[in-house]
Amino acid sequence: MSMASSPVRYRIAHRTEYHYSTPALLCHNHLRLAPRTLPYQVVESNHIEIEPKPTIRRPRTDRFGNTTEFFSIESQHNSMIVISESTVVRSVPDFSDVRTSSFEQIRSRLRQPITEEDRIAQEFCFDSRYIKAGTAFADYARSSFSKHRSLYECLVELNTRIFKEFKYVPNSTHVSTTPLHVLKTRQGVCQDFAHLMIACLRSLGLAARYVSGYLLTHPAPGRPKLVGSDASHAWASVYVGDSGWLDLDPTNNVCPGNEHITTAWGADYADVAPIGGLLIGGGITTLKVGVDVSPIP
Amino acid sequence: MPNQPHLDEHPISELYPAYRCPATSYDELISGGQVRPHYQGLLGIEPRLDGGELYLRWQSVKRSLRENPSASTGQLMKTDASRIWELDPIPFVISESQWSGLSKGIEQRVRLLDLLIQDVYGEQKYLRQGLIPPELVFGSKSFVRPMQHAVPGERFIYLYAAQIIRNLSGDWMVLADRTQGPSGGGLAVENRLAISRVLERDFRDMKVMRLASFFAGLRDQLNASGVRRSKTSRNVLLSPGIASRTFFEDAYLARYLGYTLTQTSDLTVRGGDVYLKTLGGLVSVESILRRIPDTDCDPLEINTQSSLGIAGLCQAVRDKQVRIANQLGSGWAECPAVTALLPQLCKAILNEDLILQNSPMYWCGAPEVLEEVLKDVERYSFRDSFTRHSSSDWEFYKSNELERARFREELKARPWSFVAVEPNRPSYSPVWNGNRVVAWPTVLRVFAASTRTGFDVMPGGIARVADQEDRVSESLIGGQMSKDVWVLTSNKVRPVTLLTSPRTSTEVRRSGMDLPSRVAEHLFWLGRSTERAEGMARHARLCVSQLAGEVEPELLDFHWQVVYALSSGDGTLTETLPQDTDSHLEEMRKEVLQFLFASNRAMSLSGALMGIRNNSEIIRDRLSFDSWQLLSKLDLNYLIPWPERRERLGDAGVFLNQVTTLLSAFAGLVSENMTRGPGWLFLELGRRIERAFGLIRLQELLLVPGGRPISALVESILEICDSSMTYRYRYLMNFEVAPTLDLLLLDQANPRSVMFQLMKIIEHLESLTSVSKMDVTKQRRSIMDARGMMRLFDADSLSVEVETSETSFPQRLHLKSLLHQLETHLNELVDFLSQRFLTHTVSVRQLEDAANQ
Repeated sequence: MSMASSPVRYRIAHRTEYHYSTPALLCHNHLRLAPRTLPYQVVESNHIEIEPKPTIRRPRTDRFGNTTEFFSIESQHNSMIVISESTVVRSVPDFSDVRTSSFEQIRSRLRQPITEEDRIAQEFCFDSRYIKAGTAFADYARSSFSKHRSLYECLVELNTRIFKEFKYVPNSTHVSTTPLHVLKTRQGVCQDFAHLMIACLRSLGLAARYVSGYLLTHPAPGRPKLVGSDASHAWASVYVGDSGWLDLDPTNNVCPGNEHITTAWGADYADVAPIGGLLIGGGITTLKVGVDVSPIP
Repeated sequence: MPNQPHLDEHPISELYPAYRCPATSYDELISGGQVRPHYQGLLGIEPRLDGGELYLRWQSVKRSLRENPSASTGQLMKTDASRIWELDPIPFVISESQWSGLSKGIEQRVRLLDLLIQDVYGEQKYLRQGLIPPELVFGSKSFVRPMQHAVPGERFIYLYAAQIIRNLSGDWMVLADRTQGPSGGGLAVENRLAISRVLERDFRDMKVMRLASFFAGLRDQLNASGVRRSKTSRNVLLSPGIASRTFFEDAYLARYLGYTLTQTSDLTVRGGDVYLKTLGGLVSVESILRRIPDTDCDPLEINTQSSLGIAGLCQAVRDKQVRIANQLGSGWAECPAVTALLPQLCKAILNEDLILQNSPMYWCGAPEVLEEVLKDVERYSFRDSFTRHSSSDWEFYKSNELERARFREELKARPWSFVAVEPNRPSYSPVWNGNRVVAWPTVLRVFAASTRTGFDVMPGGIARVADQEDRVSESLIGGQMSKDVWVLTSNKVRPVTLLTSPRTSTEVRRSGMDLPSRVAEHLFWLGRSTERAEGMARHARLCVSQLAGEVEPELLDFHWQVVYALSSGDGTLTETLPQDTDSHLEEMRKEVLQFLFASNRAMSLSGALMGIRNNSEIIRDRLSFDSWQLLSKLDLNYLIPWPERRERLGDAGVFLNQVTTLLSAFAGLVSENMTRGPGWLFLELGRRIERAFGLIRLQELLLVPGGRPISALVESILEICDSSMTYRYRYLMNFEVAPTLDLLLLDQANPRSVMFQLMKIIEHLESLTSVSKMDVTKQRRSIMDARGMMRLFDADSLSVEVETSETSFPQRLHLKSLLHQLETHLNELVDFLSQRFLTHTVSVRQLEDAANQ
């Protein structure tokens, strides 16, 4: 999939603007905008600027290891602008030994954990706020999971099937669209495909989580621009035993390499929403999101 | 009944012929044909009473309970929501030896549950060791993820309750654990107060353990555990509000503990701290005793699909700015699956046997359990592993073949999401039903609270009884009646009171501006609705007395005007007497009755009474017992319970007398007994504004139109405005317009004049400025202008009639324009008050989502 395999340094600028038709009096918010540090991802810098200046800011690490931040704006304001700027060096994760593990083997390790990693992965076998497993998903996914294939091949096949059989239609769904609806209508955006992929994997007894992050905005000449690069992106990740977690991006039919940047993960979108919050007042809200991910020397 | 029953041979069947406990259930009262020793003092075994005496005794106790109801159960018995709180006069008695085993078992359970919660939100050691299956945590809707690692090392449970039955062999068994915000503690105290009053001698003689020290301990624990920032910070009880069936109990407990009764909309997070919104501004909150579930607490982190709750509460907890009892997330431990696994967890974690067993229930997530359950699957009910209520239990016998097959499939696919529950047989205890002692199935609720070192079990509780076994349940509101629970002791009973707290000293304060804004709003409307109801009742009473007897035909027109004015445009009458019908009298009588009793009209007395009720119920913790007693009687069902009497005008007169008397008594209590704080100011402002509106409206309707015979009309108006005594004293029997206008409009000495209301409003606005630091100068000036304007007029010029082209009759146009201007000034004031002080409902919403694309 990914051709160039050397590490790439990126500058990421993620700008979110809320403009209110009437003043907002108070808001409490939650951010997950800082990229994660991973074996294949080094965060050189991250800075989050909030306008107007919040009354309090409380950054912390959540139980998934994501950097999150609670902040409140308690003065009257007509707009809120959040800018997150990062420099990240991203490599291609190494999954060379993933090809040996089998579906049955992983599934039984999730039932009877052998390692601490198995036990931690168990959490991602269960239903979550937006994802309810069910036979419909298992039925859909099963044809990709033939006994003669390795787990890796099964997963890549399922990833490809979702890419081919579902249509990417911007704004065709909303945040709370269920994976079951997506399975029926065969269309959606990256969040829907990630949710669907996770629902399929959990329905088969595997552990799968939701990953949010970014894509390279302007790929090198001659290479296609990836879908979802104008906003924050999302994909799925599945537990494959000793190799850890294998990322799968059904929206683009790839295993994320060095053109994806990981921000946060959780059981589903509810755990990683880039910005969530409650406000008093504000009237009609206009939302603008801009993401720019550029390689830098 | 014979006078000398053979007590030794057949004491039971003779004394309680209706008392029958099925052989399959434990009998709380009788063993081997004899009354158990711990009930003997109570039920007339010792000293021996015969059947007739027994009847008289319990009948009089029951009557005494009805006549002196406790605050919760009281008059509200008439409404469905509170009928279930009816109190049985016979307490549920537990002997000292039985209690010691039960209380040890409760203490062990809550200790274990608290350990489990602390671990599951902490290091998850038990999960790692395989003691807690992962399904129980990650498959549970009740596991509040943001709380993990939020409060390391802190306890979660402050107040705990267990729902318990006794099986045939006499062993106590737990139906459900309640770890989130168990209700019923306040009810237990109320029941105790009522029962210990009516059974005063038995209570003393039988040495019943007291409850107060339990609550004193709980309060100390809550107060000690909070972060004390200043002497003005508050402890609050967070209630789901008036719609909840336990709201009255919440109000009672809040008052008993000295906590401010709040709802989520009263609280806000600022700068990471929790505050109570009050008239005087934000007051910091130290600890929250909550009655709302985890999922309703924080829309920012816990339930991101809702906008109810207190946004930022989780963060405040993480920052240690507020103590929540029970801690956010504690609801996890009351899942049926956790309860079902307690026996093995107790052994593994505490290395003790579980003293207090569960009523048989099995978590199907373990393969060997599932196999066992499937062998005889139809004898169980199936409960969702993570839903606390049995009401949604799945039962084989209620389903058809297709549903059964589907369920079996579901059970095999997700066995871990079900708990198989065996049917249980509760014990039977004596209940005074109708006029005899009967045996009813009984479920017990027992409470425990945290202490500095561990947990303390309340020596008492609540028993719920019903005439059928399936009507009592694991829920507090199951069943038909509640019972006080008496735990006997051989030790000396020490009286304890909650009145003084030893370690804290209270700062002397005079101001009460920490009144929640919402409460001020309800007081304002209570003032308005009591005044409105009183005006309506006086007006209607006059109509009733005029229409009840013979009516002189020449006065028909006049009566029509008075009845029309009752509800003006909202009634069924036309403005002027129609000429083409001769059923005028009938129409008027019908109109008056409808005005009194119809519930679907915009203007009606029953509607006004409902307004009083709604406003007073919500702020019940702010009303004195006497006030509440008066207001709760303002209920149609209480005052005139026979619907057929609502069709007779004669009976309406008695009813209206009662209503005016109750309302006058309430006004008297307010004026004599209520502290002149902001609460009183809002109540009074509401009353004065409403009275001014009422006077203006009445004069507009009856005195602005001229060209009519005046004497009877004036007499009626004076009667409605309770000013005829003064008038007669001043003017004898000469009923004329000018002196009437002087008395009802301009006379500042008459408490029923518009001028008097304006003077009072000005006074109250002044006080409001001084207590609230809020500037109401502009509004005060506006009312002063209105007063000045009135001084420009004299009664004679106001009473001048002018012919107009608008109407067929002449009008008092000066009066009309004055009344109109007064109305404008008052409306402006009401608008201002609502916007500045009272608008409590600001809408909170989720931020639009910048979804991943």
